Amino acid sequence: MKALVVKDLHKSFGNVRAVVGFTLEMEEGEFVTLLGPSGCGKTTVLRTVAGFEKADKGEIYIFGKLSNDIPPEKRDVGMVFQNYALFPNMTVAQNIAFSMMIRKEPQDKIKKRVGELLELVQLSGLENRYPHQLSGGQMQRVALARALAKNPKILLLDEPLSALDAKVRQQLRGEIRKLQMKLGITTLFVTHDQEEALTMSDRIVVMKDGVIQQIGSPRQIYDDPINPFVAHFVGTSSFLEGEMLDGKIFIWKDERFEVRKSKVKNGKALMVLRPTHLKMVKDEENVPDGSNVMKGRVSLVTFLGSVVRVHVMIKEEEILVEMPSEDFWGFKEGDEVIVYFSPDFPLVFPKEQNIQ
Amino acid sequence: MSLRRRERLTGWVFALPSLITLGAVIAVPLGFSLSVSFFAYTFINPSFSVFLGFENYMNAFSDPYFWNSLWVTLKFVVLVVSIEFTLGFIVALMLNRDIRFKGVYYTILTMPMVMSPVAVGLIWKMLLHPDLGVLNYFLGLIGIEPINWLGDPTMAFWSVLMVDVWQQISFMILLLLAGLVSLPKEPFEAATIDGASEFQKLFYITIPLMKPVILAAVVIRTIFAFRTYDLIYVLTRGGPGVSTDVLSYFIYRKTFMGLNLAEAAATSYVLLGVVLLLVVFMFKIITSERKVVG
Ligand SMILES: Nc1ncnc2c1ncn2[C@@H]1O[C@H](COP(=O)(O)OP(=O)(O)O)[C@@H](O)[C@H]1O
Ligand SMILES: [Mg+2]
Repeated sequence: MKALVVKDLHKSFGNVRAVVGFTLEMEEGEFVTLLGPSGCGKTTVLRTVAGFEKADKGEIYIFGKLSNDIPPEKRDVGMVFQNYALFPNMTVAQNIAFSMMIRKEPQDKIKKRVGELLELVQLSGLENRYPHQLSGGQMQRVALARALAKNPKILLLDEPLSALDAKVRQQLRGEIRKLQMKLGITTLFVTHDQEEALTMSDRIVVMKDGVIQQIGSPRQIYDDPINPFVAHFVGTSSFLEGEMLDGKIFIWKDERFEVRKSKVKNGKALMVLRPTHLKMVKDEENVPDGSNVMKGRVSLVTFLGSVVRVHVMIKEEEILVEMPSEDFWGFKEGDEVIVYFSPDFPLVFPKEQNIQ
Repeated sequence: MSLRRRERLTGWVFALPSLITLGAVIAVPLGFSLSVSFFAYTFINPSFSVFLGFENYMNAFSDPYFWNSLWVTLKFVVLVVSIEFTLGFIVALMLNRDIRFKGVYYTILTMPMVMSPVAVGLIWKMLLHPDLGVLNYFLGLIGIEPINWLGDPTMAFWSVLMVDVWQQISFMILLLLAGLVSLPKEPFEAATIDGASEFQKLFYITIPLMKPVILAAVVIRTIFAFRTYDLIYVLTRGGPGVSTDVLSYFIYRKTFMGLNLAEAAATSYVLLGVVLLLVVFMFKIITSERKVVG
């Protein structure tokens, strides 16, 4: 049985169409991320699944049960909010115990469960602190423990990491994922951060203007974006505007590139080049046979830690090339270079598809 | 002259006009009445020639009418503030949801607040008139004997109380409503998912989150309630007898009927002391509250 099925969900606020025809099926134990720019309807989908918003049209099934008219507290979902939403007047332990206290469970059982949960989110010893005595990361762990306290069947997380600083965010990212796998809990996660989506998810749902653009594994989304928007939103890319010939040759300015993956046969087209797909050398002798070759001049070199990103000006367009730091051997701004790529890599889309 | 000092000087120059004005209208009268309260200063002999020390204060404390007024005032303040708060909170909670005609309710609520207490007093005096008042007329229709709203010593106190609540409750409602509207909605949703009922949400979330607003509203209303004067003046003049003789009206009587300016000044300072004590006490509660994280 599917853990969650959302079928043709529509939701408008006044004349804002927040979600349009959203359909998604989730397996039990799966971690699915809704990814898209701010305002694309991610939160609305999540809140409709939680039961805080009523669908204009469409169905929501939670473990096979049609849930459109079931109130939030009866849906068996746990939710973590972006701004923690802890009860400021209650201690960590009281926050976590809230749902159990509401259900009037026996004190010793509550105490035991709170202890387990604190251990799970690595906060043992902080049970008597108040939220204002915790760091952002700790507060979000408490929120997570509170959401898990009643053993929900589905966990909903709405940008739980976006209010935290980079270091904590990265750490918690891994922890949430490990915890989710350990508990095997079906999780629907919302973020606008592509890196978060790529690192945490089993599958990613990319959305734009309330419409699903693509559903797929992180690898599929990154390697095989379905349109320029997805290519632009997930990962870094350079875009070249040109023309396709016979579905094989991409003409850009006075260059001709051989390509193998084109969605266009003839006519105006947009080529997507990932920085990692491009290679860069000083002399033409080092270019493998069959590569597409461009000449350019280095305009900027930025060091990103594990990789070096080089901005190359080619025919008045800036194209990004990335290479592992250890393979970087000292290009400088102003160097004349040769950039090449295999015909297997670039994707070509019809021109009318916009990246924004 | 360093930049820092020059900036500070500029600050003082800008603040000076308002400081002078404030000093002239607040500090001077306050200081003057404080010194009056230590001398035999009356309208007949307005001079600082005879220093009495605390004699004016002693006289006030030994006056049984002073103690009556203090008691009436405390009773009045505690009752109006608690009634206004309880009713006001309920109304504010009712208005803080998706209902139709919100604008209409707000307009109705604001009306008594913008009316002058003297006008309110006069209107209610007509409504409460034992023979001509519309209130007794309606009571008569359902077979209830006319009530002497303002003429009966016990009834008069409650009537004044009711009129004050009628006029001042809007302030309480609007203040509390402003607080309710600005509460974050996520804690409520988190509690909803956890299965909390509306009542549980009220006690576990709304009231704790509203504490600072509640205390501010109660403090402000307490201070204002101590100063209630115009309503009493119009409705009962402290009577019948001294049953509605609140301290501010008592002081007025001492000054302009008893012409005993010095003792009135001393009593004013006692009133000020009582209010200050209460406010300090309430502020202690506020500041001992933990900081609420939004
Ligand atoms: N309660 C609401 N009232 C009116 N408009 C809303 C409401 N909630 C969301 N919207 C609108 O719906 C769209 C989608 O919002 P949301 O789901 O919050 O996007 P996201 O979470 O992806 O940033 C936005 O245009 C937003 O302004
Ligand atoms: Mg959102």
